[in-house]
Amino acid sequence: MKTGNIYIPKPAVIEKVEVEEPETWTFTLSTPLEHTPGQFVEISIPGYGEAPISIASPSGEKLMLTVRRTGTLTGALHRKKVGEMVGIRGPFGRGWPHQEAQGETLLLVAGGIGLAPVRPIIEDAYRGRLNYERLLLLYGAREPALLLYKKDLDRWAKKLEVFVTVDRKNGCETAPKVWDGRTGVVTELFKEVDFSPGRTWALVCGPPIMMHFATKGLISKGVPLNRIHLSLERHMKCGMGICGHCQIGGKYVCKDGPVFSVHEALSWREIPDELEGVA
Amino acid sequence: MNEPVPVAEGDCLSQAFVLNRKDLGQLIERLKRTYERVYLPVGDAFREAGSIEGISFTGARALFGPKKYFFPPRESLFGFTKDGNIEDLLKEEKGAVIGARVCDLKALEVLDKYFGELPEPFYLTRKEGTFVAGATCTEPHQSCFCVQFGGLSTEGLKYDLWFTDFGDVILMETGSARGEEVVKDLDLLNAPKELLYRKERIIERVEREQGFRRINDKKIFDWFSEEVTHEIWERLAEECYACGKCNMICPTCHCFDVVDMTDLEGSGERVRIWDACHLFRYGLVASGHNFRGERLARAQYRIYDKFYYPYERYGIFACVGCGRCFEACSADIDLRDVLKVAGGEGS
Repeated sequence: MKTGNIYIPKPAVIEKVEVEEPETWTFTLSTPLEHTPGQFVEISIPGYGEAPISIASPSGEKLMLTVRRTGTLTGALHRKKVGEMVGIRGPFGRGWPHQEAQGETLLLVAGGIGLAPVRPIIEDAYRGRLNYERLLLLYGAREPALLLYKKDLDRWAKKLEVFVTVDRKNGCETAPKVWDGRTGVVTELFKEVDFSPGRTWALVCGPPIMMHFATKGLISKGVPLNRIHLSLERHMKCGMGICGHCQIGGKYVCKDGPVFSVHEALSWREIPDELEGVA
Repeated sequence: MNEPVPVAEGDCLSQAFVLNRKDLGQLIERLKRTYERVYLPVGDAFREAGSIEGISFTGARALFGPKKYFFPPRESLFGFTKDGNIEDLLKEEKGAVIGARVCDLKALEVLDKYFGELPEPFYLTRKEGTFVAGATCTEPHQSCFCVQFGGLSTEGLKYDLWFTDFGDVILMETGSARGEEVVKDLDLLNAPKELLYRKERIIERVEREQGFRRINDKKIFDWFSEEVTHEIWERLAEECYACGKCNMICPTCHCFDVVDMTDLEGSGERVRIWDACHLFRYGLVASGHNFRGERLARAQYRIYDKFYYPYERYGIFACVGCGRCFEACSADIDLRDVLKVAGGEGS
């Protein structure tokens, strides 16, 4: 069985650019995309390459990608303007188990730009397209300026249980930008929230160190290992399970993941850095 | 080698033929008619056939195998212009690879699994359009250990033709309709059974000279399953330079990087280039975290990706016992030492 040239991206037009913070922008593209929350696309600019980016929009809506400027491709993307073209391949990968979790408690633990891959679930739950007994969002960023989707956070808080914290106030101690919310790492929020661990599904996404401590916290709260799911960050170069860069423990993060249960990941012969010593 | 070939009426094989060495040129010309380019082992590597002077299918596998023909070290995926036009560079290609050894063909079957799962169009297109002729090894290299993986038997292998080089004559067995098609045009005599017996004797001798036994797959897999923290990994990591030579020379390694190559105006090609999991920056991500920054993790990963992970995913080992990694290794790391420990034989 053969296919056409699966490396050629499909063209898409940048329709909107929103600055979340100077280094992190959200791009809305003209093309709607059907996907499972937790999946990602490869965004392409000829001459600069590709980068795997999580999908932040709900399925069927115009594709929204929140991108931090860290490398060649993301740098080039930040120089693009509304109306210009980019290329898209995907969606790729296995998304969150958010459907199985319906009717029970969904606990989302996100750090920094890790809020993007759970955003479609929050948005769908907010609009009543997904039904949970409770939806709790625990979200942390390094400092107030780095919080993503600030307007969305306020809106979501009206219907869902939203807890936001920053590691440090950094410049927001005084007017005009006073941070009067919580300070402390996101795992500190576990002390504040109460949920029944046996009826809870926890979805975790953030930097490796944050996922490590979040997983540890969830385990000590009593959430079963097969109900804690992580979205692993690796270099998904091809996105299709062949180039090898994202492999861990024989799994292709791009194809078999990026979402894995802690139970599954701990059974591998190579333990992800995120889970080293959690159980 | 130069005994006369006895031909007895009624004692010949319908799918085996005798090619006189001096007619090798005719065979290559015939192949070129259908397959345009013919690659065969010349010295250390597979090269495009020029003159037939000095061509031989004796000895063992070439140091650089035929993988590069099916999965080139650098391959253009598509072209682009600065105005955003895209040119698809996936093309039907025809070619013939002749003189590949059992280990080379077994390695291609491993690659079939990896590239077939997707399915990956560039590899599969080349694979489909390529005529493959194998050859019996007549002497082992010191680094050869294919016997541990089933030896020189061609049973179950897919090939169009199979050569056994006896010097003045070459035994040619057909393995497919494509192979028969080529043989038909050459007007060859059927081979006597005697040649096949002689081939069997060569195989027995080469396998015996390697001095190994077939490994027990399940036993090896179980060892890898249990021994993630075995002291041999530390030892390997200390010796390994993490240079990636074994990746480059391995007939089943298939990792690649993707880069855009452009001219000064911004037009160019998206290209894939062989990559190596031994290299430091392999597991690096944009945020700066390196998920396999430790040399130990990389040295161990590559070997697990030969004996544990592919067995888990496809029920096969991604090692064919060709010994190229050992021959290429600057630190003299010998995979057979790991297998010895894993198989429980004299650690």
